[in-house]
This record gives sequence, structure tokens and C-alpha cells, in this order.
Amino acid sequence: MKLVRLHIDGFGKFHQLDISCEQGLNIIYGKNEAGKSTLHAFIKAMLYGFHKIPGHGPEHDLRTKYEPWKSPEEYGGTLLLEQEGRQYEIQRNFQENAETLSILDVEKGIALEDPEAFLKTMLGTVTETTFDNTVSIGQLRSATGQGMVAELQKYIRNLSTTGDLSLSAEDAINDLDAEKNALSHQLVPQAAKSYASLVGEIRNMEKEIAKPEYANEYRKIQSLREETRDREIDRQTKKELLLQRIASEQTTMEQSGFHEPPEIEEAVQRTDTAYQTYQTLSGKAGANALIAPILLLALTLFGAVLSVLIYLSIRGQLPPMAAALAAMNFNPPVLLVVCAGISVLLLVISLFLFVRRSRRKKSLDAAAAMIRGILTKQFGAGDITAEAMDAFHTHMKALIDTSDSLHADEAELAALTQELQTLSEDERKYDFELQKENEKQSELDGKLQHLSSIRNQADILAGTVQRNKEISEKLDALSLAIETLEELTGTIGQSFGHYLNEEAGKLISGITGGIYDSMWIDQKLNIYMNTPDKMVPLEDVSSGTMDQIYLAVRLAAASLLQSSVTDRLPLIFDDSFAMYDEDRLRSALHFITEIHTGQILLFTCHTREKRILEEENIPYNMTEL
Amino acid sequence: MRFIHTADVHWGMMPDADMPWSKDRSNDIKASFRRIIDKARDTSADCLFISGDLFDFQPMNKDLKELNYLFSSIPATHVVIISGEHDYVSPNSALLSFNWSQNVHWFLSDQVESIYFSDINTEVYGFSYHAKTLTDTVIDTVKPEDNGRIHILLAHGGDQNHMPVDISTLSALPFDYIALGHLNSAAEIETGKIIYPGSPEVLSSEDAGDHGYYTGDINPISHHMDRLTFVKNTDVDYITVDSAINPKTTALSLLSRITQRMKKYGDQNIFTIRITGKHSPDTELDLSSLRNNYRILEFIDESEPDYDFSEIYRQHPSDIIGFYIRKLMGEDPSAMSNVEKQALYYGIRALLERDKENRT
Repeated sequence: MKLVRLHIDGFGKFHQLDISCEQGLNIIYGKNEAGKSTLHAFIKAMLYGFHKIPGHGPEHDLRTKYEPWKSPEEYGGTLLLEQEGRQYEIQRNFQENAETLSILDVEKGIALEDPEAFLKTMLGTVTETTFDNTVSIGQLRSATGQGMVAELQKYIRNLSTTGDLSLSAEDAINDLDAEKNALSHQLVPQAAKSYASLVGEIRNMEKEIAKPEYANEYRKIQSLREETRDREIDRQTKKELLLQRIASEQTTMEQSGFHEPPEIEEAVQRTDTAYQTYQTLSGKAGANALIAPILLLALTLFGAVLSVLIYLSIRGQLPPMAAALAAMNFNPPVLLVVCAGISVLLLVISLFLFVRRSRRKKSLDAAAAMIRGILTKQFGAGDITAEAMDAFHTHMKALIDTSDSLHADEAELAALTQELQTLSEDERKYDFELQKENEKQSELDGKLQHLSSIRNQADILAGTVQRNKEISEKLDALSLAIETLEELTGTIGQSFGHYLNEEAGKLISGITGGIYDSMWIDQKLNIYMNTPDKMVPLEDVSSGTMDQIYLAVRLAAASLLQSSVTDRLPLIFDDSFAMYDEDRLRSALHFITEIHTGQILLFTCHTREKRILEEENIPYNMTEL
Repeated sequence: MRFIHTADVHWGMMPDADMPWSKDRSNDIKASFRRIIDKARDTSADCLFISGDLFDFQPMNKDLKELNYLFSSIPATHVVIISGEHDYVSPNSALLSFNWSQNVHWFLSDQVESIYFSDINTEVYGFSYHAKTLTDTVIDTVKPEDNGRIHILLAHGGDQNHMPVDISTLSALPFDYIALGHLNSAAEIETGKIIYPGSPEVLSSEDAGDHGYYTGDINPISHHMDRLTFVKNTDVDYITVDSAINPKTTALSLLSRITQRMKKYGDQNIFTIRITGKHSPDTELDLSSLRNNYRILEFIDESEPDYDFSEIYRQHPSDIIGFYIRKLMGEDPSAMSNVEKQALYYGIRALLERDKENRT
């Protein structure tokens, strides 16, 4: 591609300016502040327009920057260029919101239908950034030697690893690393582990609480205890009644004087026997029983008297008697004997009767006394009657019953007492168990409290675990970015970087007149200049040489980056040789005109270039601003 | 017969456990329930029905004491409670031996029982969970006698693992009111008859909406529901604030816009901030300062840096930027994983940042 003519309606300081360019070398001379950079910018703007380049900041900056000082409505111009033998005129208006672009096919005289597309095709792979990397060649900006080294190193490294002068993969990677570091610090490292262990603890706690020993038996035990108490009260009441009864029974027994049924039975028997005796004897031992013996005794006495009388009569002492007897025809001695005999007999009988009665009386009395005794003891009254005996029998039976009852009651009392004892023990046992239940519940409450607290902790941790996940994903992305960048720098280094090295080497040799024949960049991106005998690190190279190396590298890049373009863009040198000394300048001017067959625009504020070109007979075209 | 119906109180729960307002919300739940008690007292409610999950977990004695104290302050109200799957009656539960105030009745059995209140001629039926799940329908066989009493049924559940039951079965049950529980958001299964009151306080972002309880009046003669109303009882809700941005949006303007919206809703609410759209790659949209004054549950940043990758690629076809884009986007850009997408943004941003620096 070749620039033919520029016409500026208004752009920066320029207003209605025309500049023509020829094939080959064109020198555009202007003092400082003459507007060379503005012109440069105009060319770029005409080719690419003002539009947002991602990452390059708002487009406004440039558009406003170059707004024409006078008449801002006339903001634009035309650029006539020749591409593959055909001429096209690009016309643009840069006014914001009134932008226009049209391209005129000069030969045909018609405006192209789709100017944008045409431009894109024509420019091909030379994007605006490529333009900056290739076409516009400035100079090393640093003033100091050290600064220049650093700057040159940076350019070379950048080009070698990213394919772009100003893209530094290293810087980008460092930035990403820093970001990664910062994010890593936000990770809570133990969160996942702590969470897992908490979950485990929760499970264990839940299992623990569910153990059967924690079952709540309170109500059950409580009702058992109630039951026990009820029974106790019942038994207690019974016991009271029983005691009362026993007391009265005992009193009864005590009063009776008897203790055991056999005793009583025996007494009854005795009494019965006595009564029988009594009954039997009572008639026989009464006063009536005395009658007979007394009578007998009386008879005895009579008989005795009689006997005596008889005796006396016998003896003749009693004549009347004798007379009586004679009258009765009784034989007196016989009568005496009989009488005496009868009297003795009667006496004996009466004695016998007396004794018998006496004995009987004794028995009867004894019996009566016994009976009376018992009756008195039992009834308080001692009359011996059949009713009394009946009552006695009934009474004694009752006593026996009472005695039996007493025994039974005593046995029952013993049983009740035993039962009460057991119940009381049970009650104490239940009390104790209720206490244990309470303790158990307290313990359980404690465990539940703990469970609730660790559940809460787990919930909190869950949030952290989630956040960790999110941060980890970001870290993964950062790692991937860094990896990819490193990989690509390697790839680029091996391809483009490699060719750049080669190409630059050739050019360096040419520019320096063979002093250095090539350049070498090692793994660590240290740069060495090679002479036939040794390798010189870039830091040790003179500043003048560095300028040359810079030029070579730029030219190499320009060549490589447009390798697919057939009709390459012109080279635009913007004050590139200001620091060169005479010799170097001469050498450089030769060099660039020899190696670059296309158009060259050389902006300069010096007159040296012109002079040298004249001296060297290098053809050129001159425009003065 | 006037009643108040609530459920799923989840007393003791700490919502949003890892957030600073968790404890406040826990207190709000308790305060909310106390307001219901006050309402019962103020309106002389005859009954307070609590259909399960009163507690968030198995209650301890001290929890029961605390609630009993509240219940004892409304001695004229019959408080009837059942257990849900969260506060189910386990063999070691303190519920088994707790001495409630006279007016409180907690159905402890897992079979349906009933209790009759002669003063209001009302018989209340219900049963409690004995485990975390319940696969029986249980209530489909309940048949209250035709004895002229008002019949109320308390039940908790309604999904596969918690008392599965369908609407037709519920509708067919001959009760004057079926007080359900289990759904954290209110739902009317049959207006005026079968109700899930929802929890009195919103418990998570999943049940955002109005929360409160139901209060009703049943006519003692006709047994019809004279009135049944939902009473909103809290002004805290989970709100999502959507904000669309564009590359011109500044962090400051976004912050102020969002702050205004949140202020309008009220700062007692819990917010999720969602950002969508494209932002300028240079702008740092750091909204974390909002957390100082508002309850922010989550920031969902769905915005993407305004990178026109095809344009960038066009501008950098043969340098590392172009290669980078090509490598990560691969054959099918839409098939990029989240990590790859983020890596793309990170890398391009890092490269372009430095590029910008170097060019100026």
C-alpha cells in the first residue's frame, strides 16, 4: 500500500492542509511542535477511524484530543492511497454523532458500497494494534543508558513472548499471582474438615440420646408410687382397726383369765363336770340330805334311850318300862339287843349318812365353789342356774372364738406390718428412682443443649464451606489463566520469538555493519548480542548501538507481522534517528531504504537526514510543515 | 367459638446461622409467638391451636417451662398442641413427664385422641409424631360422633414422608375445621375449613412472603365458620433486589441505587442483591460495604465484564491476547465451563490492564 495524498479539513492544529507523498522515502520535516505526531495520528485515524478498542480506554480521548482548534465542525479529511495498483480515496468526518466514511474508487469514479468491509479486507491482518507494533516506529524513549536497556529489554521480551511490543505476559502473570494469593488468604482451611467432624459428633450425640436408658419413665414410676402410697394408706387403716380389735380382744381374754382355747375348753369341761356333780349332788347334799341322818340319829337316840330303858328295865330299875314291855310281850333282853342293835345300826347308818352327806357336801361345795368362782369371774354374778350355765357355755364359746379371732388377728397384724414394711421400702425405692429420673432428665437436657449448639456451629460452618467452594473455583480459574499464559508464552517464544530473533539478527548485522551478527534470548529472557568471538549482554552495549538494535527489532517485527500481507503498509518513522550519530545515521538511512522496498515516511525535525541523503545519493521526497 | 391457629413456630431455631442477624431472628421468632399469646388474651380467644413443630428440635425442660409460663398467662384459653417431625415425642422426651398449666393439652399419643371442652362444646382431635417421618395417613379413619359438638382436627404433614394425605380425603373428613401444620408458608387447602397457617415468622429465603397466623370464629349453633382471617404478624421478609447495570454504571451510583431500594423496603428485611448485565472491566463493583448497614444474605453477581471478545480477538489476532482467547474459547465458546469463563476474564483483564499501562 502506498499513501499518495493527504488532505486535512480539520485535525488538531491542522486546517486545510495538503501533503503529497511519493513512492520510496518521503521526508516530512517540521520543527518541534510542528505537528508531526498529529499527522501521524491523522493517518492512523483515516485508516482505522476512532472507535473503542477494548482495553485501551474510552474512544473519547483521542477523538477529543484531535478536535480541530479552529472550526470544530470541519473535523476530518481525505486520504488518497494506492493498493495493488488501484487508487482509492478515503473520506472521513470525525465529528461525534456525525461520523461518516466513504471510499471512492478513483478509476471507476464511484463510491464503494461497503467502505467498512473494503477497509477491513484491505488492511487485512494489520489491526490497529499491529499498526502500532509495526508501521509506526518511534525511538527508545528513555534518556538514560540504564533506562534504555530496560526499555529495549522489555520490548524484545514482550515481542518474543506475546507477539506484541507492549503486552507483557510476565506482568500479567504476576498480577494474577498476586490476586491468587489475596484470595487464598480468604480461604478458611480447616472448614471442610471441621464440618465433617462436627457432623460426626452430631450423629454420635443423636445416637447417644436415643439410647433406651434415657427413656422418660417418670410418669410410670410416679403412678407406681401413687399406687404404693394408696395401698399403704389402706393397709395402715386396716392396721389401726386391727390393733383396736386386738386390744379389745386381749382385754377380753385378760379379763377372762384365760389365754388359750385348750385352757378354756378344759375349764368348760371342768365346770361341766362340776355342774354335773353339782346337779347330781345338789339334791343329795342339801339340807334335805340331813333329814335322814338326823332322823336316823334321832331314831338312834331313841333306840339308844330305849335300849337304855330296856336295859334299865332289865335291871329292874324301870318298872314301868318293864311293865310296858311285859304287856307287849317283848322279851326284854332280846328287845334290848334288838333295840341296841338297831340303834347301833341306825347310828352307823346315820353316821354313814352324815359322812356321806358331808362328803357330798364338800364335793358339792367344791363344785359349787368352782362353778361360782368361774361364774363370778366371768359374769360377776355367781348364781348357779341352768340359764347361768347356758350363758356360761355361750360365754366360753365366745371366748374361744375371741381367742381364735385374736390369734387370727395377730397373724394378720403381723402380715400387715410386714406388708407395710415392704410398701414403705417400695415407696422409698420409687422416690429414689424418681430422683434418678430427674437427674437423667437434667443430663439429657444438657446433652440436648450441647447438640443444639453443635448443630448451630455446623450450620455456620456450612456457610463457610460453601464460600470456600466459591473461592476455590475462582482460584482454579486464576490457576488456569496463569497456566495458559505460561504455556502460550512458551509457544510464542518458540515460534514467533524464534523467528523474530532470526530476523532481527539479520537486520542487526546489516545495521551495525557486521559488528554484531545476531541476537540471542535465553530461557530467562536475558538478551545477548553476538559477535563472531563472544556474546555481549545487552546491558554492556553502547546506547547508540541500542538504538540500532531497537530499529532492527522493530523492522523485524514489521516484516514478520505482515508476512501474509502482499502489499505492505508504508513504514512510518517518527523522529526515530534523533539520537543517532552521523555515521550511524548514514548507515541506518542506507539500510532502511535498501531493505524496505515499499513506501517510507520519515518524520523529523532535523535537517541532517536530508543532507546525508543528498550526500549518499539516496532518492527522497521532501515535505515541509 | 373463637380460636387462633398457628403452627411451625420452630421456637429455638437460629435462621441464617452464619449471618450476624441470626440471633436477632431467633429472638424475633420468640417475640412473634408472644404476640400471638397476647392476641389470645386481648381477644379472649377460647382456643389456641398449635399444629406441630412448635419447637425446632426435641424440647428440653427449660424450654417447656418457658412456654408453660406464657400459656399460664392465658388461663382462659384452651391451648391444644401436637408434635410434628421436628419436635416429635421420643421415648426420652421431657414432654412425657412435664406438668403443664391447667389449660394446656399436648396430645402425646401417635394414635388420634380427642379432648372435650364442655364450656365451649368443642371436641378437639389430634395426634403427635413419634418419629422424624410418618408414612401412614392416620387421619383418614377418624370419625367424630354426631353429637352436636364443634369438631376440630389438628394434624401435621401432607407430603410423602409426613402423613401423606390428599385434598379429597381431607375435604371428606366431617370436621368443622382442620388445623394443619408443616408448610412454612400459609396455604388455604379449602377456604374457611382446611388451612396451613404457615410459620408466624419467615424462616428462610425459600418461604419469603407474608407471615402470621389465622384467627377464626365458629358459630356455636350452626357450627359454620363465621369468619376466618389471616393476620400478618411480622414485617421482616426475604427480598431480592435485582439491579441491571451497564458499562457506564459506577460503583457509587450502583451502591446508592441499591441502598435507596433497600431503604424503601425497610432495613429490617433480609436482602439478596442480584446484579445482571455488563460492567466496564475497569470498574470494581465492591458492594460489601452494604453489609455494614443492611442485612445482606447473598450477593449474586451475574454481571460480566464488558468484553467483546470477538472484537478483542480481531484487534489481537497474532499476539498472546488473541491466542489466549482462542485457546480458552476453543471450538465451542458456549461449552466453556464456569472455571474456563472466569479464567478467560481474569487473563484478558490482566493482559489488557498492563497493555493499557504500557501504551500510555
